[in-house]
Amino acid sequence: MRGVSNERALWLARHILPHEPWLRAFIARMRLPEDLDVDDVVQEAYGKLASLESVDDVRNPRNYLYSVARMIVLMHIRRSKIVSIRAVDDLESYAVPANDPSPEQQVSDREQLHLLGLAVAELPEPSRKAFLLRMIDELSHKEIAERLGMSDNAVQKNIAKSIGILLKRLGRGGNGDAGASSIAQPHENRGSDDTARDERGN
Amino acid sequence: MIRRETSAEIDAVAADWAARVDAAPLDGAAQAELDAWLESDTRRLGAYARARAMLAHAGRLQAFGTGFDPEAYRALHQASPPEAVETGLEPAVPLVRRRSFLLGGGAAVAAGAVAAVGFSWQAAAATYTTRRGEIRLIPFEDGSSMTLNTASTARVKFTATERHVELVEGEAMFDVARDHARPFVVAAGDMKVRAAATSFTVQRLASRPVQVMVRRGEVEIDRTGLRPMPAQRVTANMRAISTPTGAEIVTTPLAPAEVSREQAWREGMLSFEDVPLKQAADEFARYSDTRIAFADPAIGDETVTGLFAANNPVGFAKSVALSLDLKADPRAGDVVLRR
Repeated sequence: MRGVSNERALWLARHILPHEPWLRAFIARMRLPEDLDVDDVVQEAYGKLASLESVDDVRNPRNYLYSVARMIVLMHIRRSKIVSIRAVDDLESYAVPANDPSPEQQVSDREQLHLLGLAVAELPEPSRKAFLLRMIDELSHKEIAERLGMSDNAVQKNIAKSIGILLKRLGRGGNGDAGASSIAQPHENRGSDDTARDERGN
Repeated sequence: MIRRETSAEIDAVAADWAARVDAAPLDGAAQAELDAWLESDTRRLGAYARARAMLAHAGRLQAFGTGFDPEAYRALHQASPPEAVETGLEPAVPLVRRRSFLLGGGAAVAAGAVAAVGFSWQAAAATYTTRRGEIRLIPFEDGSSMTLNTASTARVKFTATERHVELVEGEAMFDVARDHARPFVVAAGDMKVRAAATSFTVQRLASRPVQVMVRRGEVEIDRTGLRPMPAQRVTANMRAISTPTGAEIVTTPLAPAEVSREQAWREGMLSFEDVPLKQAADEFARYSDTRIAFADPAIGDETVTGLFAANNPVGFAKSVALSLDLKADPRAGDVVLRR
């Protein structure tokens, strides 16, 4: 069974999610092969971190995240049919970043909660109501269904929708209008992740 | 060849699975279905892990409590600049206090700087005195300064919590640098003047009531007498005088020109406009041992206008004699004005 344990989900929430905008900015600067975009690399990086036996030895999650993402990009470049020498050269020049704290790394728990509060305000109804009843009041899906007069399945769909919107908003740095678009919209970011680039800020 | 699944498509399915697991533990069949889905692409596992992480992260929302209104929160806090993060504020500070904390951010930084400086100030308690005719500018390390007028004494003590000056006698002008963490307080008699970024003068002369004149900014004045009075706010171009009964502080507005005239002493000058000679003579007496006397008391009621060097009462007397058709008669220790 592969799955993702609650402990691992929590570890990712604490140590990786806050660095995602920063990671996206780095990946966006790399010369990616044609069949690879920033979202692909991010997903693969999470996949790699989810499948680790243990994360006890990860001392600096941010740098580890970066190494993993870099390795993924390198692997894809080597596998791609048209190998761009320049792409490999470029990648080699991206050393693992120095251990200086990025603005994202300094994001405190308080600030994260603040961004979360703002992001939740972007959720459309009735998703927002359902999501808050689940997260704050800890009602079961069944209780939420009764409270809001919808089916259990509808509650589940609204929770899923909320997850998608919040991930777009928070994963990409918490600003921009990414949260307003539907999560089912395909390939909206292929080849140009402007949000991530803007995150870089310099 | 099968089209490569897009990351957005994967994200959508992954969010569905995360929500499904959130609803209830998966039964055997559902678990097998999920395992099979996750198996084929690392991106699927990653997207699912990421969705689960988002749900775990959203658990923080409990900090807002039941009835949390995100739109009201956004309306209240969206303007808050994220740079506040970099001030290193404690994460434990409740969110509702965010705004007020931001306003105090500068003060917090200043307080840190003050704490570092504070120790050097402990030894900085000092008494400054000027002789008659002497004017002395005393700059303080915090950027404030005190200009001590003639024949004045002030005791200065800066601590980590207060910049305290006691005007023992005479007159001083204070140019106060802002420091939220450490109020600047001048005590003169039973008046206590509290200032932020201000320029003001405090006068405490033996024969006159204590007076405060504000040139820029504003101050708060307390009286430390038997009957405590509410602090009184005195703004720029106002004069505050403590009444002899000690009951209240009388404030009067001043023209800006009058304020600067009153402070000509800082340049070693005295400025008068329609001031009775006897009053001008009293002013000169503060700066010099040479007295100005009047052969006839009525002469003292004549008025004078002009700018004069504070340390030259004889020159003043001669100048006045010329304009009022009087005779200035310098003698040992004084100068007599006669008809």
